[in-house]
Amino acid sequence: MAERLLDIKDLWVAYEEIEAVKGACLYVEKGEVLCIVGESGSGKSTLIRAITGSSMITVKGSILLEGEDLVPMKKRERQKLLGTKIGLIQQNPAGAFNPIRTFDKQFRETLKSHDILFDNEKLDQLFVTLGLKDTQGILKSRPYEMSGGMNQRIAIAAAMLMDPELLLCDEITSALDVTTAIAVTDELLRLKNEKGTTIILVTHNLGIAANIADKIAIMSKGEVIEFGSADQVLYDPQREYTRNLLRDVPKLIEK
Amino acid sequence: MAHLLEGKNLYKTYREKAKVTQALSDVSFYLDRGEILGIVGESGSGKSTLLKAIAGMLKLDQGSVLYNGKDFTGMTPRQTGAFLQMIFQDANSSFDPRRVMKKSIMESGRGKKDEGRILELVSLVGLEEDLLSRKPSSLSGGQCQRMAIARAFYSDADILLCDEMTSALDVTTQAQVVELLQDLKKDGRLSAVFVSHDIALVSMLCDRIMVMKDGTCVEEGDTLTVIKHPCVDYTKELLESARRQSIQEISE
Repeated sequence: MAERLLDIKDLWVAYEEIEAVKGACLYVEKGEVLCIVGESGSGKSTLIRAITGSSMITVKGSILLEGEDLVPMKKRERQKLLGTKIGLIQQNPAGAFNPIRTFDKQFRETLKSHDILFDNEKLDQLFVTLGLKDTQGILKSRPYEMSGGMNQRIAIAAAMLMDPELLLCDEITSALDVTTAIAVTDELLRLKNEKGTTIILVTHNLGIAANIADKIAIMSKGEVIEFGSADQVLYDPQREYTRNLLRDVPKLIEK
Repeated sequence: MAHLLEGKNLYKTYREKAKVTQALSDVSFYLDRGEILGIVGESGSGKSTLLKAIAGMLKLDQGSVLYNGKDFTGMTPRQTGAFLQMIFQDANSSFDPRRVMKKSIMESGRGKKDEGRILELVSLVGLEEDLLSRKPSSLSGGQCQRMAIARAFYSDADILLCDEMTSALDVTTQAQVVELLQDLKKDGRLSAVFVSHDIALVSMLCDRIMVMKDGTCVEEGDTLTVIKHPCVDYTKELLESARRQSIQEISE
């Protein structure tokens, strides 16, 4: 059996009174892509926040990263894991950058804080695959000068530059065009195939999941209602809810 | 007979300091009554500029727009509002946050005060009456988008201009809004220009497709023809992306 990189057992997360995640159980093996799919408010982003250890949430249960439980860890210890061990790309890239500093400064600073050398060639390659032309021009610009789609791709490049073992992606394709979304998922797949990065992608679109996932977890109202291999969930869904989600993916009418 | 809506050789340039962007370059289109025209393209292709220019929110550099054969180039949004209404991606912020829904909808009627009609429209878009006494912040994205459709209909406008109206919604809510538009179209109540980056979505809804890239129309035609026999590489690329994101076989 392949080794489980992340293993979540009976996880409960609550914001004050509201229980956002209720008894979630799921895992991802090394080098796999797990997609967590659900509607807004299903608890999928909260689950991601529980993994990164954002404050303001209380947790019961365990989150094992290579066998070590993250839940009882101190905040400082958990922060150390962020960036190098666990990478996070969020839906809203504006939150990831300082809006008025150049990307060049921000990239260098981030890498320096993790003792990683700035590799121009690697960055250039990453930019090209993410459909970003003119690397030097972009590095000289500032986040506020860029469109949302551009900032999102640059945020993805920033997270990928660090080569994290586990990359958490929270609705990163939702604000992008279909073509750009495909380019981004292709890049994630390349990362998985070439570097063996383990990826957890949160999305409301099963179409995206179908394109990239090894495993799929379906969440509804805070619960993981279906979890299995992508083939199982897509081709032999056990729950009515999953079948409805499948039905709602826009289909190209060709006849 | 004249088309319901027509644009002829439209040009628009954005100038910011030394940077000049040709947002629309010789774009022409038409829309007939009871028809939905889909406009697809990536961000920056000029789709939103086109809609804003039609609605009078932007000044065109060149070209003319016609409603039932009559030139209305240069009209303000307030004037064009009598026959066309925009529906935006972010429906929530298109309503006054301090007003209840009913007031916002009433306002679009230009003095008309017909509560019965509002109730009728709200039920047409599949919402409960009691939502009318709420403010936009307490409605979900999908509910707001439905209210925006009801508001547009209340104004008695002939034409809806929909700018990425489902992009901010999740797949399930999007499917519901699309279903609503399909129903309205069946009843012949809807003539619309539907802008989206998602060609699959457009294929489900539109009679004709126009593909835009870098401010120009690169392909135009009947939906099935464009999808089955795309002429330009760019359209083929869009279709390829859409196919990769679809899960056709299993959903049948």
